Amino acid sequence: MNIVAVTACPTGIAHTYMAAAQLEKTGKKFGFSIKVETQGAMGIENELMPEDIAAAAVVIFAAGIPVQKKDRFEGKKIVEFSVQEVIKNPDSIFLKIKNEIGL
Amino acid sequence: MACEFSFIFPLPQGLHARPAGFIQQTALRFQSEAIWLNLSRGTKADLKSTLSLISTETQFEDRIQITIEGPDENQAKDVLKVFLTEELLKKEETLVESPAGLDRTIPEILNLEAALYFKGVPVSAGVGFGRTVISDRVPELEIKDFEPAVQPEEEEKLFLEATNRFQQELTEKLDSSQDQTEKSVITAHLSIIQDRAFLRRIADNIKTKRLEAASAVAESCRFFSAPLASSKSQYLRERLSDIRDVSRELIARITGRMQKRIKLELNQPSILVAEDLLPSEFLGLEKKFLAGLVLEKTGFTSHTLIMARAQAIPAVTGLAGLTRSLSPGEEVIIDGHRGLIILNPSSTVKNYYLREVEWYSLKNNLFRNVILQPGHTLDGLPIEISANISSAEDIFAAFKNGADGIGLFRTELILSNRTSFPDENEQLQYYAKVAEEAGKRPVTIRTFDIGGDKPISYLDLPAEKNPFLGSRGIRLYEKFHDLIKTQVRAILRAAQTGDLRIMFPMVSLIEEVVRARKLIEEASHELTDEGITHSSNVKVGIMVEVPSVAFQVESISPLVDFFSIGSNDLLQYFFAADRGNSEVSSLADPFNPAFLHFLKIIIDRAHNCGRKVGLCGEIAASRRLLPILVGLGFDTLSLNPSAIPEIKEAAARLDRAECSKLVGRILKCSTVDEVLKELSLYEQQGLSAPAISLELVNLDSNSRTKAEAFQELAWMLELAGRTEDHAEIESALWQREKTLSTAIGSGIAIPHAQTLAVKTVSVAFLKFRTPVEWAAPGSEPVETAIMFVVPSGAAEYHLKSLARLSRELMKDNFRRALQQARSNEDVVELINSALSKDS
Repeated sequence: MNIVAVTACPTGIAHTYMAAAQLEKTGKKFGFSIKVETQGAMGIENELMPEDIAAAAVVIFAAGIPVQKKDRFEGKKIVEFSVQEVIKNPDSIFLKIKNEIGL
Repeated sequence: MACEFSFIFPLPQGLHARPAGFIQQTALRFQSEAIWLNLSRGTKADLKSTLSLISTETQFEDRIQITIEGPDENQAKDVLKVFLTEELLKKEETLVESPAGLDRTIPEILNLEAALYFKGVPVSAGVGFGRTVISDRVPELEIKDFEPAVQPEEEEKLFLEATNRFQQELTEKLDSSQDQTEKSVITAHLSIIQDRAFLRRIADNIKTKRLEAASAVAESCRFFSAPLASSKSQYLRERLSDIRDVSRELIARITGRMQKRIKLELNQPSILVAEDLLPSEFLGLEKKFLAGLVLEKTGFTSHTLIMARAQAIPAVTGLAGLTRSLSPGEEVIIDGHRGLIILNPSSTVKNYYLREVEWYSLKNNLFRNVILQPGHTLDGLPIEISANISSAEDIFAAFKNGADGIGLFRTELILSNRTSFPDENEQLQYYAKVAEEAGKRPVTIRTFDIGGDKPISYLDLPAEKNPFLGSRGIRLYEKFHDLIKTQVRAILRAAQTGDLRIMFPMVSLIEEVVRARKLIEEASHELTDEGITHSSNVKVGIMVEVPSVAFQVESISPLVDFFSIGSNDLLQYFFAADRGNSEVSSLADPFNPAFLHFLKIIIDRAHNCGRKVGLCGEIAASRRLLPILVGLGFDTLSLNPSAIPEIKEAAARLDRAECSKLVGRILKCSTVDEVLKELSLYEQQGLSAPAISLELVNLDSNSRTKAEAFQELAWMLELAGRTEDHAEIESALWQREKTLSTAIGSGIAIPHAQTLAVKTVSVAFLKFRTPVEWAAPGSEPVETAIMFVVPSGAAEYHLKSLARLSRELMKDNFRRALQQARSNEDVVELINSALSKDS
């Protein structure tokens, strides 16, 4: 099962990457194949391509600021979380995700 | 008969009380009368009257003509000319940069605590705690209306008695004062109370205008103040208070009534709030209870503030009407670093400032430690940072600033302001005093560097068309053999009590060095024959100012113990350009690779012969040039005392090996522009200093709140020299914190910010003794805080390394390792590995 995610934070030097790390680690743990794009101080890294997005069952936004290039995700199921939640309690994130997509 | 000379007034601050006093003193030694004519302004004065001089309103670069008439006019002219054109400038302390910190950041804690505060101009640094004492206005000096004095003779007597008494008191105060700044203020006041023109006018007011003594004084005060009050120079306007001060004190002694200001007696820690405070009032305050000064109108350069700064009493000005807004007895904190007066501070704010005081003190101590250590580079190689001085009095300041020795002791001062050559005993005393003060530290005495451009009236020096290329320094020693021998004898004798060294100026040929050594031997033998004890192994060196010496280094080395490059003149001779000529002065550029190449040749050859090389010239104090000087291999840098702390600290952060490589690259350049480009690249490189270091880790932090943690983290950066102002870091951290809490679980918090206040990426680490509440009350407390601060516009690879660190912090084993770290070294290693880890 494929999932894509975008993390973005003000300042963009810490939380952005911590959230990404948590999503990658926990997503894998839950048996998902996950790709995370970061939108930090260095700009967009690990950018999600149209194929990645098309193949994804759900899109996760973990952002404290507006996500850039949001139009890529038109028509997709987007679930939003706070960065805090992702960092502190990543398991609950994925439990919620599983609910959302009916697993 | 009369003789005259002209000159350009050299003091940037204009002719104010202190230099006027010195001029007066010098003029008073002669019988002749001397007139000061300011050609630029059309004002005139009597050189023997300080006030008369001040009233000319002489400013920087005014054209002045001095006319002297009397029996000793020629001598007076010689002495005055040298004094006015050379010594006056040296005597003036490096005063007053204008107050920095007008826009200093307000500590965020004041906003968080909704503290009530006033922001003024910081004029004396420091933090003070106390209760307000409000002082009333300074009463204007009244002039009683002009009822003719019944008995002018009585009034005159009163006046003379009071004046004498006052002069005596001031003289006694001067003798008993230990503080240099206080002394100079008292001296300025003394010269006013002894001023001929001031006293003459008062006497005249009594006799001719028939005023009462007190009124006579007030009128004289007004007369001499008027030109100052309307002066364009802020500095001169502020000298007004000196004249008013002296006048008030004099009137008080005449009338027997001190116009005492109520409530100037302090009996608990107090913050004195007043419109103005006269210097004599400041001197009369019980300093033990003076925690700070808030003065509405007092100028930055007024003597009151000069003294406050010297005694580290915080002061703030520029807050109009504060005497009316504040009540007496209010609790107040004064922040003299930022110009803040904080009213009725909360306990959190008080606590903040108590901690500030400790950190400022720690910073001062660290600073002192650097300057008290012998100079060295980052990689531990010694580099002596010494002082250039012109008189024995300067030596105290030199060592206070951390000089490792005296690299250049100019001895010409002892020749001036006199009518005959100083004899051996007088010189002996002078040098012995210096040896004593220096203790074990070396003092390099340059023998008299006289010549056509430095006239000495009692020596028959040739008048030359081009003195700069003429008979100077060692070239005159054959002619003045006995005089120089006297100097050498005095030095050899004084050298018994210290490490005194002899250095000869203006050498161009090896024969001169041979003759000089013979002279020293001659002096030594004479002393032995006369049974006078002296040191027989005084080190001898020469100045390298004339380019020809560069190619005689090998042959001269056996004759000397050291070389000292006099870059001021060497630069000029090397490029054939006069520094004082604005048309060509830019040619003599020390960043020119040809010159640097030249220096390298001299240094390498000297080192090959086992001789040390020093630098005594203005360029030794150049912060920008420092890595090049270190890379060239100088063993000593000798500079003016006030620059020593900065250069010593800067040298301690330089790696000599890296500097040598820099020099290698620079010597491949052909122009100054190319050199400056290389230098900029090198400076940028320095900006990739490691993000974390041992001093940025504290495993035993006693901070108990998030606010205290931010304060501590920010101060760690300031103490490590990574930021100029910790308050800016705190502000940036708070700004970030407000948008999203930085607690990330497992007892870790990651406060961070991007700010202009740092130039290099910095990471700091705190482990708290007691866990700190960080997010909402009841949330998991934080035991470990890791701060990252990134400069605005940071390079991408820096941001990448922080991204890596962030990801590592999400891993349990990394967190555990951090939490279990036992030493600062462990933490630094862990963080460094995280910063560079490949994902």
